[in-house]
Parts: sequence; C-alpha cells; structure tokens
Amino acid sequence: MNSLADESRAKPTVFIVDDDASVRQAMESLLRSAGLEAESFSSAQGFLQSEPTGRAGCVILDVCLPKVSGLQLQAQMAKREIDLPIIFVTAHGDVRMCVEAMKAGAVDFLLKPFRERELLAAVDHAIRHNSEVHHARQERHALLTRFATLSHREREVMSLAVAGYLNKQIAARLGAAEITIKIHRRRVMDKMRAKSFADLVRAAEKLGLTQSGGA
Amino acid sequence: MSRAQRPGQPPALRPKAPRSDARRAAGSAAPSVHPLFSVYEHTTDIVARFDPGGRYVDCNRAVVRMGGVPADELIGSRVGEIAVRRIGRAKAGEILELRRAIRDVVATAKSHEREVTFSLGSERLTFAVRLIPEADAAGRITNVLMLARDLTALKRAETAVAAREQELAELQRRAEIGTWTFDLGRRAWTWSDEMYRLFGSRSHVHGARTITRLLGRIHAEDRARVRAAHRRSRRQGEPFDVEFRVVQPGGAIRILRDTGHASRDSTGAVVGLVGTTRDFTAIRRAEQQAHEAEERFRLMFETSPVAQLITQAPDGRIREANPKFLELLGYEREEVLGRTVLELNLPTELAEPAGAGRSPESSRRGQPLSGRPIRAHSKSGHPFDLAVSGAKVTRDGAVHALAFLVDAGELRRASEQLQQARTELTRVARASLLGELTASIAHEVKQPLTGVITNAEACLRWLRLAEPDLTEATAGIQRIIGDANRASDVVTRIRSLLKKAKPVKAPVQLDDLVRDVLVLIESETRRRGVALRARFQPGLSAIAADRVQLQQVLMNLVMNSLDSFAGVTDRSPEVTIEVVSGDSELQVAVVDNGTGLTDEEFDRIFEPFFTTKDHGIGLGLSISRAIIESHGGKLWASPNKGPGVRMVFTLPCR
Repeated sequence: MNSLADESRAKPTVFIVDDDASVRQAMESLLRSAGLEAESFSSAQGFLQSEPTGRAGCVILDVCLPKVSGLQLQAQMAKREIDLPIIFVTAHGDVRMCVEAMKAGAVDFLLKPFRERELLAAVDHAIRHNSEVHHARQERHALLTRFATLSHREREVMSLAVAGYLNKQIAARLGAAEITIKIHRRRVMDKMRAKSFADLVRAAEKLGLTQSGGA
Repeated sequence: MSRAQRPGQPPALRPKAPRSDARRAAGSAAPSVHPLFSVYEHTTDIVARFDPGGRYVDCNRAVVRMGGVPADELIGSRVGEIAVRRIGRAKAGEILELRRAIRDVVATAKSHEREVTFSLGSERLTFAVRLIPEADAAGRITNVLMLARDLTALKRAETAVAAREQELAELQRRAEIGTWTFDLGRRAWTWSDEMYRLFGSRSHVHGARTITRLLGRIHAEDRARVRAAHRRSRRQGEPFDVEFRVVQPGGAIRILRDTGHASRDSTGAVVGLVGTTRDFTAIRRAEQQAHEAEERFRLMFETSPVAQLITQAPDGRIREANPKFLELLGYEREEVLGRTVLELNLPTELAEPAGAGRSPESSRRGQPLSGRPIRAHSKSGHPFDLAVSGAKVTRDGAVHALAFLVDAGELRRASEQLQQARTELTRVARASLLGELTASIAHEVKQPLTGVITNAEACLRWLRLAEPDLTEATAGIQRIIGDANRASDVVTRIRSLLKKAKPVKAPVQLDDLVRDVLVLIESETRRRGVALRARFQPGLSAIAADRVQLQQVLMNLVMNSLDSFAGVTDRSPEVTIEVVSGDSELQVAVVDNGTGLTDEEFDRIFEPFFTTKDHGIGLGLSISRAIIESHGGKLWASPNKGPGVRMVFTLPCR
C-alpha cells in the first residue's frame, strides 16, 4: 500500500460510519490488519464532529443509519466541502438507492455481506482517487500562488508566449522593444519556477491560460 | 239585334218566309204554314232578313227572345239601331259592323261569315254570324238573310276546359302526381307533363321516343313486375297497384307508385290502361326512418337493465313492460298487458305522465317522479323500494307515460358491495406489508452475517502476520460468536412473533377465499401464461379462520407454483387448487406441474432462509407453516404424480 503514502500529508485514514457495532469493529480490525489507519463512528453526527475537513483517506458509509441516513450525510459532506470519497455499504440491495448514491459522487457501493477482497479493493481505489485529487489541487494552488507574483505586463507576455508568439511579435503587439520582452520573459520563467519553456506551457495549461491565448 | 216576346201572336215572317216559287207551284192554294216553319220559329239560332239597306224585314223568335224587343218594333229598324239605343254604342260594338257587312254582301252577292261579340248586361256574348244574299230572278239582291248561332256557352266551356287543364297540370306538378294512358290499339303512351318530371327528365321534348327512353330508367329488378301488373290488368280488366324504383341520371333512386285500371270502349272491350303515378320516395323513406327509430326504441326497451313500463293516460293501462320489469316484479308479459297499475296493486305514480306541473323539456329528459323511493309489491307480494323516474311519450297520437324503475334495494346492495370491495382492497394492501416485513427481517439477518464474515477475515489476516496478533484475533473471534448468536436470535424472534400473533378468527367460506385469490392473482397468471384452476367439493361448510392470513398462505403457495415454471417448455403450465372436505377437517391442495423439488429440497423447504429461488428470502413457507399451525392445521409438501409439487394444508372444521 505504498502508493497510498503521501509524503506531504498525514497518513490517509479510513472513516467507518456504521450503527452496527460488530460490523463496525470488524471492518476497523480488518483495515488495521491491512496496515491502514481507521476511525469508526456509530452515527453521522459523530463523524461530522471529528472535523474531517482536509483529511486524507475515504469514508465507508452504511446507507441505513439512525436519524441522519447515509445519503443525507453524503449531501452534508458536499456542503461542508469534505471531499473524502465515499464507499456505501448496505444490507438492502436496492438499485434505485445505489443509482442515487453513485450520481451524488459515491465511488463504490457494496452489498452486505461482502468479502474482504471487495472492501480492500474499494478502499485502495478510493484513497488513490482522494490522493490524486489532492495532488492536483495542491499543484494548482502552488501555481496560482506563483502566478499571483507576476506583474500585469509579465502576465501578458506569458499568455502570448505560451500561445506560440515570437518575441518579435509580442513586442509589436504590446508596443515595446524586443529586448524588453526578453527581460519580461526571463522574469516570468523565474517567478513561475519553470525550468524550461515546456514547463511554462504545462503550468499555463493547469492555470487555464491557454484557451484564451489565440491570435 | 233585339227581340221581344209576343205571346200568341204569329211571327210576321209567316206569309213571306216560304217564298219559294217552287213551293207555290206545288199548289198549296191556301196560304198555308210551311212545313219547316216551326223549325224556323223555334230554333235557338237567330234567323233574320234584312233589306239591302240593312233594315229588318223579318226575324224569328230567337231574335225576340234574346233582345227582349217586340218583333214589330224591330221590323223596319236598321240593324243595331235599337241595340245602340238600349245598351249604348260602346257595348253594342261589333253589331254595328254588320251594316257594312250587309252592304258588302249586297255589293258582292257573296255570303259572309264572322263572329260578333257584344255585351248584354254583365254577359259577354259571342255569335257566329252568317250573312247570305237573296237574289230575285234577275239576279238583283233583294234581301240579306242572317243566321246567327249563340257561341257564348261554347266559348265559356272552352275557356273553362283550358283553365281546368292548366289547373290539373299545376295540381299534378304540385302533388307530384303524373297521369298516363296507354292505347292498346296504337300501342302508344300519353303522359302528363308531371310524368316526365317523375322520371327525372329535364328535357322539354315530350313524346313517344322520350317516354321509351325514360321507361328504361325503371330499376332492372322492378321492370318485370311493373310489366306483369299492367299485363294482368289488361287481360283480366282488374285495377293495378305497383311500386317500383326509378334510377335517376345521378344514380339517385326514386320510388314511384303506379295505380290505375283498364279503360274500355262502349262494348266493354279493354282498349287501354289509365294510370296515376305518384312519388313515394319521401313517404317510404319516412316510413323506413320511423321503422328504424321504432326498432331502436324496442331494442333499448327490451334489453335495458332498467325496468321500464309504458302506460296510457288517463287510466294507467299498461301498454308495454320490458323483460327487466317483468323479472323485477315477477309477472308474465300477458299478465300485465292491458291491465291498469291499480289492478296490479302498483303505485299510481308509475302511470303518471311526467308532464304534470313540469316544463315539457324536463318531462322529456325523464325527471325523477319522486325524491324518495316508492314502495311497490311484486306479484308474490314481496315489497320493493323503487326509485322511479319518468317521461311523457306520445305514441300513435296518444299520451303515454314511460316509467323507469330501479330497485333501490339493489342500488343499496351494489353500493355495499363497492364498500366491501374497498375494504378488501385495504386488507390486501395490509397483507403486502408482510413483504416489507420479510425484507426487514432479511436486513436483520444480513447484518450479523456481515459481522461474522468480516471478523473472520480480519482474524485470518492477524493470524497470518509474521508475528500473529493473538489479541486482535481473539477479539475478532469473540465478535463472531456474538454475531452468530445474534443471527440465531433473529430467527427465534421471528418465529415467536408469528406464534404470538393471534389470528383474528371469523367464519370463512373457503371456496370464496379461493375465488378471491384467483381474482387477485389473475393478471399475474395471465402474464405468465399459466392456467390456474380451482375445484371445490360441493357443500363446503364455513370454518373459523383469519381470512387475511389464509389468503397470504394460499397466495404464497400459488406464487411458489408460478415460480416453479421457469425453464419449463415441454408442457403447458398448470396450477390447480383443490378444496376437499373430510370428517373433521378441510384439505386444500395447490398442485403444479412445474420443475418440482429434489429430495434434499423437500427436506429443507420449510427451514427459514432456505430458498430454491435466485432472489428468494426463504421465509414464505416457514411463515405459512406457522400460520397454518396457529389455526390448528398442518402444511406439508409432496411430489406430484407427474412432474411438479403438491402442497397441502389442512384446517380443522367444526
């Protein structure tokens, strides 16, 4: 499970929300035996009180919970920007319910009783998914921070450069000397921490700059 | 011209009139009366003689009768002189023209004929006048003889005939009656104008050729019949009356009726036919429509599910009663026709024309005669409450009352049945809750089952580690024991729950219950193409049972049978429910020819959670057995004689 490890964050945690104590404890035990961190809750409220926002990992959620149901919790998590992927488990095989949960963004839906292989595969998939989403967000965040340090003119030069314009063309467009553009360009590369021009183009793509850079 | 009566006096003409030399020569010595004198005197024609100057020389009585002027006054006067004096120049008119005519006759010595018209009183008279010159031996014109005949009556008759003919033609046209004759000798038809129109001719050319063409329009199927009728009449002299169709140029059919008889000459021999043809199209069409309307009414009357009675005002004599009425009140048709409602001891409201005190519209629509039911008695004296509504109808010119009778009791019973059906529906809905119950039972069982599996798998993982974690494994095994006990508890709880649930017992007629199930499950069996039948031993007695619970058992058994046909293709699926009565118990069997069960399955099907179905829960039969046992009966399964299963349960009776 090395792939799940993320050096920049805390170890991912599997949050288990199930009102059946035996099943809850069995799942926690099983996950720990697989080397995963696990925390379990008997209700939706208990889980929300643990302040899981920003934590890495996934949630195993029983559809039938007292008071606040699994599907309602899914909605509340979305509202509170808890972006942990959800694996639903239920003893009722109900297609309609399953479709509803998947539409609302659940990554998996397991019918009780399930086998360890099914559960662990679902958990592995969910954590990987969470980690990827986290990475992408982190990277974008870093790029945005760097982009914010650019001056107005430097941003203009960057957009035109990644759109494929030559320094000469950019100079003509912006009404500046070619040498000035060269200086701007060097500064952009430094501030964006781009090792090559290709690096800069990738950064621009991630920032969503490339679509608007037409002739 | 005038004349006067001179009774008794012989006319002045006498000595002169027969002034023929030949006569005289014949030697009648005495002045004798000429043999033709009385003809001359009494003829209604006017005879007068004028001298060449146009003065009367002589005249007969007819002149005197017409003019009312004595002959002696007339003689010597000029023609027209007295007339002008008496009736004026204007009215005397053409009389005066006779003067010139007389002069011309004298001058030319040729006779002259003309018509003279003049007015006398309010009458307009016309005379045909002939002036004849009389000459002496020397050829000199001595007198002019006038012979005049009164044409007035003839003229009048002619005018009248012409007017009558015109009138007749107009009448024929208006009445669309054509007349015709057929002359046997000449083999020729004569048609009135209307005949042409009746045959749809627009041509103004009337005649033999047109008639031949128009006769060709008689419908091919009717031609022989028309010809035969005419032939019979001609040969046997009897009248004919024949109806036939005429195909108009546009294809429209006109129905004509032809009546007439043979015409005979003075010797009594048949010389032809005389006929009258009338257009019967509208009449026949109206008759047809009336007939159809009557038929429609009769059909509705005869087949109506509502009792209907037609009575005639004022005494309420029954003219017609429909089968439903007779059935309702237990009478034969002959027993009520012609009798009055009073005689039959029926409420008089039934015979009240609904028009009394109401607008004609409302009576036509058929208004309730009474707000509350009317009490009536059947023939056998059985009392009824009738809801009555009525309408006024006019049939054959007489006012009749049409009454509609509905058995209010029947209405009430129907509404009760509806209510009962609703209650039944509610029960069925409640019964379907059992399905939900089993689903929640399934959930209860799956929960500990999940615990068992997941804990066991976790244990295995802890034990397989290089350094097995016995603490974790022990905790897991303890949880497994707990889960297993939990699962066992669930089953125990369900069974005790079913045992504790006391059936609500009421008298149940088992054949009725089976029929209900047949109805409930009918759409399902039809959808699956399964023939579901029931056989009852006659005279089943009621048993005390919980109707809904028994229904559930029966439904469950039938549904199992229906499910057992999956993959059966070599025989037509059949399910039979048999109900047999024994000494102390009723036995109900549900027999199918489905896939059947293996020996192992026979041993286990009543175990909870054992199922042979892909999506079954495995509780139906164990619950069914619990229900039957709580009724003091038994439920078991045995193989059918052929393929399939025979499920049997018993219920104690008495």
